[in-house]
Amino acid sequence: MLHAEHEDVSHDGLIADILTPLIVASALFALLTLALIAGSRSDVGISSFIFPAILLLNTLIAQQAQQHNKLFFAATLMSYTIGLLPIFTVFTHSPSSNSIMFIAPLGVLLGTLILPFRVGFTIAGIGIAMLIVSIFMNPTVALLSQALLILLLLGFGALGCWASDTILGTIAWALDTSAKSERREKLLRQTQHELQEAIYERERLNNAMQITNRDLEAARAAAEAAYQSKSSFMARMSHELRTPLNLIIGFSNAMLEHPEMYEMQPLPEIYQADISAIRASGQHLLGLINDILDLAKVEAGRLELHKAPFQIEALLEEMYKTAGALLLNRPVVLTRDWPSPLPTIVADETRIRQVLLNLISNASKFTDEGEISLGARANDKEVLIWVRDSGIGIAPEDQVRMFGEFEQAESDDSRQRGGTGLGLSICRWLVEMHNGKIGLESTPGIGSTFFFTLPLNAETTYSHPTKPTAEPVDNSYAELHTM
Amino acid sequence: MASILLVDDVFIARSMAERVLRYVGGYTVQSVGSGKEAIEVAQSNPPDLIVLDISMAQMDGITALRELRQCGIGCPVIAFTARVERTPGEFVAQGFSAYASKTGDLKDLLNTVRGVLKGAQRN
Repeated sequence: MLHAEHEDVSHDGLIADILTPLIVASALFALLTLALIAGSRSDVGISSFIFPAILLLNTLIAQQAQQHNKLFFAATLMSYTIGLLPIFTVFTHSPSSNSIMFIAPLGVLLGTLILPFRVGFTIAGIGIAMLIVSIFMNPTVALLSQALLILLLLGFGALGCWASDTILGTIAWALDTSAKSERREKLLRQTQHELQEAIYERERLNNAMQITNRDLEAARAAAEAAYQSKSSFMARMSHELRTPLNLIIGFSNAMLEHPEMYEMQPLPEIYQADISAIRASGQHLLGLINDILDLAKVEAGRLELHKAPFQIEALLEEMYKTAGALLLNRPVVLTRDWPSPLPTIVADETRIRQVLLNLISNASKFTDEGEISLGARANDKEVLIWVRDSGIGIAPEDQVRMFGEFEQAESDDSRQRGGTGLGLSICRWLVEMHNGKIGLESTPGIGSTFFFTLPLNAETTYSHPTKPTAEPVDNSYAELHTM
Repeated sequence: MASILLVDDVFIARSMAERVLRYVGGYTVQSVGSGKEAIEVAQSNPPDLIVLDISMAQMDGITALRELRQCGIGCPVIAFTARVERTPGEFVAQGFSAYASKTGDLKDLLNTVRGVLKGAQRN
């Protein structure tokens, strides 16, 4: 398709390329002849002007046709004019100036060369016919020149036929090549231009990106600084808060438990409940502040784990006893469910104890009666520890938020039962710092199971996250429990 | 009875710990409000044990311990602090004999003092 179109174009181009100089040459020739005839002193008849006038006229028509892109018509007209007009002129008028006839073979050549062969041969045929007729009509005409012209007409026709393929092919190839190379050059220039544009665009983008990066870096640094200063402020603040609080608890302890400090006068019984309340409130407040401090430290990346091998079983025993003390005098059955022996793990025992204590204290807080169970399983990769209760349970919509900061289940009931909403968040941090996972399963009214895993392999390194991960743990307890 | 030098810059905290050590523990207690005074008192009247607060405004407990040691005072020193985020190991590494938490749990202080004194006697 493209190829065919392309050939058409080059053929048209070839015709146009031949036509233009031909038209110019023939116009000049006609004008020159007219001038010569007009300028000659000799007595010339009006008939002498016919040849150059018709030639000029036809040339102008052909030029117009070419301008209107009717190339085929223009070429045909020029071929007929050049091929037949000289013979016609000689045939109808003065045989004396018959040398002009010898232009005719050029018309035949032109016809066969750039137009279908029949055009050339039609011209040749008509020309020969006119010559033969003229021989019979006017015997005075030099026979030799007539015969020579006939031969020339045929010869040029044949030459045109023979050459058209070669010459046309060559010219077409040359034109095509030149067009191609022109196109290629144009394409190249365009590509170069586009490339240059692309380079500019890239530079512009680069600059823009650098500016954005700088802004981003500045914003990040500012955020980081704000984050650090917030965290260190919290750490210092909570220490300042704890100092007087420790005194409140300390003096309450002294009044309740150490009459030695008061010249052996025991605290009057009527004060004891209130002083106990002061101590309990102080301890609650201290718990809150410790949680906040922990969280601040975790967020500032300052909480360090002191990992060492320890017996998870021993810790479970200890926690089982603690839970028993918490549930004293309450209608809650405490059960245990772990195989012996459990593997030794490498972890920060204090922090794991903190996690377990938090889960157990939550379970006891939300379970008025029923059962609380402490359990564990291990495989060769990790240990799974859980605290299950038959407490009030957690609604599904609350479950996903449980491990976020300051999050608690939305019921009034849980508000009444106290807690900071920080405990589980800290548990999550601590477990994740150990490369473990924490999660929960719960059905409202039936109970909850909080579980976490710890890898046995301590080699895994923990990278401190800059922000708490928001999505809930998707490993289901059931899945973990099968190990 | 063993004599204890108590160093704490917060008056109420100092008075509480002093009374606990004196009346409950039964020790002879001198108390001062700064590391500087502690060095003076310890030099003129060497105690069996020093209970040293860590977060003091003028000279912190760690600096105070270093200066006490430089002045040739070699008795056991207990780090007494509310900074629960520090581990006992950190204080021992810095040259303290033990660590007692200032969390209002008076028995912890008493037990720690008792333990350190017993260890010192054995040595």
